[in-house]
Amino acid sequence: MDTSLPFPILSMLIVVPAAGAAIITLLSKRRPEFMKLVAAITSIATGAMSVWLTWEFERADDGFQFVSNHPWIEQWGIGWHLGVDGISLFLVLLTGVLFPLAILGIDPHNDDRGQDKPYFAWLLLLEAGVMGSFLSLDLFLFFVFFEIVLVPMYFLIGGWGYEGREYAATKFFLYTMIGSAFMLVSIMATAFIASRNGVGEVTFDLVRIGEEANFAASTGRWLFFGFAVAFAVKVPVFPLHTWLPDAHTQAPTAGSVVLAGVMLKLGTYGLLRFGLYLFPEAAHWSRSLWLTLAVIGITYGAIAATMQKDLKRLVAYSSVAHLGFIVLGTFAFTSEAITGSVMQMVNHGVSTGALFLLVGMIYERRHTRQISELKGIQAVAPIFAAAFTVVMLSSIGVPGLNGFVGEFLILIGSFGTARWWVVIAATGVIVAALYLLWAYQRVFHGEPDDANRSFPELKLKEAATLLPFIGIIVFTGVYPKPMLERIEPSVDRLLAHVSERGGFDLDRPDVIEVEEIEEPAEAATESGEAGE
Amino acid sequence: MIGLVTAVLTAFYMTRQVIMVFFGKARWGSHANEAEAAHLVDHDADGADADGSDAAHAVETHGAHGEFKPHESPPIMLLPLVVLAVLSIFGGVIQLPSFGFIPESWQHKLEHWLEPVVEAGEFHIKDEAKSVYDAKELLALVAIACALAGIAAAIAIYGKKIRKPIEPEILAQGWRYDWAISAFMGGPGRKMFEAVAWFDKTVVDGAVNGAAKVVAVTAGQVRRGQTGNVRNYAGIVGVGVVLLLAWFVVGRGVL
Repeated sequence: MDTSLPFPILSMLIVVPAAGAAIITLLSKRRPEFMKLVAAITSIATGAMSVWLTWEFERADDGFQFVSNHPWIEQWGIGWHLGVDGISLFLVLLTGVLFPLAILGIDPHNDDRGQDKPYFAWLLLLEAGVMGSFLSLDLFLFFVFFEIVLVPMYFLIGGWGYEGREYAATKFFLYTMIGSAFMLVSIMATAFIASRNGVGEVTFDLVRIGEEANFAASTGRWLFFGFAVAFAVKVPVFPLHTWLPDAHTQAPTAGSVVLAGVMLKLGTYGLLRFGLYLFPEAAHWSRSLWLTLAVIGITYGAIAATMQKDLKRLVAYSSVAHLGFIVLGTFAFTSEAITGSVMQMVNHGVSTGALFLLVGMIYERRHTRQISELKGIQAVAPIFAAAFTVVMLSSIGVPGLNGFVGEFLILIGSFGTARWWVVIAATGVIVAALYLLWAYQRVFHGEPDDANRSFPELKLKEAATLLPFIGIIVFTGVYPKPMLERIEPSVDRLLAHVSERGGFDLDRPDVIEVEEIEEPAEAATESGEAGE
Repeated sequence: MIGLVTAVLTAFYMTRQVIMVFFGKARWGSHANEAEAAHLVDHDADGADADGSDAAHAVETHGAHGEFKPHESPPIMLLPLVVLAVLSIFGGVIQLPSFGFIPESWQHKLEHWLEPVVEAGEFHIKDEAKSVYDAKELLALVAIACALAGIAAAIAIYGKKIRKPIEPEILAQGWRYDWAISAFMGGPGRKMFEAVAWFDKTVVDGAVNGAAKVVAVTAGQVRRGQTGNVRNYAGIVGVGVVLLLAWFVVGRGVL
């Protein structure tokens, strides 16, 4: 491997925030000033490493880089196997950049400084979990991180959220937990069935299972279903989305930023990395269902967003619509569409993260999220309104800002293979403009009434937090090439793998070439296994 | 064909606008409405003057000051306009067509800028319709001729007043397009959107909360069995033993 660094950078990306969380729990509760300091140092260190990782990343290499592979539970073939490729690189970078901003830029909605200790510890543990999920190349390891993520989020929502936080936290936890239960069963079954069908020994190694295992069609579909349920809840795909508006709305601002920014991507990333990679045939077989649910998510989420009275809930529903685009691109099975999906995962993280940040600022000033109680803010806080405008336009997908690039790639890439779905999905773009601009009009335009007349202008610290977001939004929108040329090789490689294993032509993925891979023989092995 | 018609129309309406705004008799002052002007005086600072479409507006606003005369725009408006004017003259340079008299290296500068994004959807006229592309000089001349025709027609009607202009009401209302959209979105469209939001809250989320409710109620009922009372448990074990014995003896014929 050419791109080796003198130390295992991927392991450090997970260990450093986890260590930060551990240090904070050991500090005395009476010294709250240290909590933020430790959280800042560790998250900035992690962010710097993720930037360095991106810098050192070999852009033409389509495989996994900076791999570290150590046995962990050897008798079950479970290993500490980490690696990064073009699909996960920018999600890792986004995680690395988002967390320091969330930790430094947003104060917990809690005046009791004694509560800072658990707050920062949970945030850092969350970062470690998210990093681990994006970097794991071992099914078991991935599951561990995927589940770790839920715990800090539950406590962040439940402990620092708004009025309905306990209901939202419980709903979030149970909903995603039930989804993950399906995945756990599937992970176990995948490892053991794969050991009988090509791999030769029990291993949870993603790459080995992906390259060596041969699942019978029906087996693959059942296993895929288990993974898909967990990811569909996480994305969320219609109709499994209702945990999202509650969790996003009730979470503290930092929690919402992280939820929208990176946690939802665990679902779409999982679909690509595990769903498509391990079970190409099943993914391709079920593509009509996914495309339909994605398009319903886009239009339905957008329409529901239009009618929300709560500004934060509106942004939450817009996430449902945006994530629908990502699912649409994923199951279009073309290079442009999947590249667009990966790109859109990052873009949505940036723009919706920034929107939640802005809505959080509005709440801090006015102690309300109701659109009807806000009015004329543009007149008293023009800079704030300008920042909101840029972020909002990015979320709508206006050309020149980042949201456009991803959305356009998805739509154009999917048009050839999923034409009518794209036609309906495109109306979602229009409704996106409708709900965001209408909300903007109600909140920012007009004469401010007495309650809004003293709306404070953007503070320096808030501007400093927003500036990186806006920088990324504009840069990616004007010059997406650096991102695209790193994402695309890995996407092409994944697609080549998917079409070879899934038995369909890449140029016409909408046509299934029926070439059942020795079905009867494998079905026999499978039934022999059922006894175990 | 449609392209040609719109080329003529574009030239026509732009010329009409220029003639009506900049030439002919001064029409300002004639619309001055004292009541409205007083109402509008607040907005005077950022007043919408020096713009053809807002001409009537500007007249009313300035009417409040008595004598009205159009004036030059302030520098903050003038400078961007100058920049735009210069760019609109030279903007074509960045994507020059491949005519013989233009140096090769100056042609098609813009084409590769957006490459990574629009690559997939690119369509090259060159390959598909060779004959059309070869006739591009002719097409350019036709385009210029259409523009000139439009300008000439507008001058004839609005400048020289040769013919009376035909301006039906529906055009002034923009084919009533805006009206139709607002009527739809304000009425049935809004009702439909509200229905979707209601559906999400009641049906989709209702199913989730309903499932939680079923679990809670069932668990609440089952919980009553766990009394912590040893005699109850022993009694249930006893009943179970009796039933098992009965099954073995009667059902399976053991003994």
